[in-house]
Amino acid sequence: MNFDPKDKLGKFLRDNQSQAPAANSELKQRVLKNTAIPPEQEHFVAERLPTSWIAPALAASFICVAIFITQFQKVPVTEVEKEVDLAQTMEKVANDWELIAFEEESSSNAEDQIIEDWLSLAEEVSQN
Amino acid sequence: MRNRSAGLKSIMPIWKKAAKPETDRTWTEQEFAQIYEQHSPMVRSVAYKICGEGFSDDLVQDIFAQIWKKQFQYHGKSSLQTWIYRMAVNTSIDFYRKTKAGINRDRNWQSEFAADSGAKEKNAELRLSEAQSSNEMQKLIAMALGKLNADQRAIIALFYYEEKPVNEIAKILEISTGTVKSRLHYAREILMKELQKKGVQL
Repeated sequence: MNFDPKDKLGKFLRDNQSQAPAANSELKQRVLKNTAIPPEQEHFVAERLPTSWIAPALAASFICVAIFITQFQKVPVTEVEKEVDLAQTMEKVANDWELIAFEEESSSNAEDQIIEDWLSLAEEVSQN
Repeated sequence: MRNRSAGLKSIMPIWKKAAKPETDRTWTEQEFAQIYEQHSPMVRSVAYKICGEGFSDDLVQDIFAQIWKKQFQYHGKSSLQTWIYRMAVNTSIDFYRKTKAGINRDRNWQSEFAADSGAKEKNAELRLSEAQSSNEMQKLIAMALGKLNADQRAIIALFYYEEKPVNEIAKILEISTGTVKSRLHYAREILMKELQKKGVQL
């Protein structure tokens, strides 16, 4: 969009402009009195960094945060993973219990067998 | 290694400029008087266009006080005139906002004109047909300018009255040329609308 200060609006404004009132003759003296006041010394404040620095600086900080998270931060376990772990543990426990039960059952069978063997042996001895 | 030193060289000036201004001594009274003589008409003109009837010699004195006080902020990156324009515009905008000079002025002028022209209604609109004299036309423009905010008034003052190009206005106000164009566009629209309401055909 191009603007021209000499367009119709500009011409109208300038043709009908009012001038600032004339300066008071003492104004210059009043202005020069300000020189008695020491000017403000500039503070050692750094100027704004050029905007071209912003993108690389942001990118670098994002990379640093990403490295920190992946390298030094423990990856949080999700709820699903927790449930899978629990299910596996429960299954293992159940298997263990079944094994124990089977062993107990088989051991009681063995005892019965021994008793039977002993009884048959005793019967044979009494017959002889 | 060559690239690295070149990179450092490009970074260093940022800190150097902040630490050491280009002029390390204050202006003498004679130098400041010369600056006043050279730039006071421009300062008066800009301040008057922004503040309208709220303008006074006190405002000019205040602008030059700011110029003196903040002389170390001038690093010679832009011309001295541009920097003085900046100080004048910023101080005038602050003054306009603080005093609401424009609003009061426009109210006074509207009621004054209504009384002069013998209008019976209190809120009688100022019409072009009634604004015969140059003085009345100036009041009509002032009323239209009163619809603009301080930033828009500054843009109109610099572009139309001081006839500064858009890129120089951007330097003076330290804003982008896009922002200057945008503000100028809206300011023109408001002005045209207000003037057309008063019967001005542009």
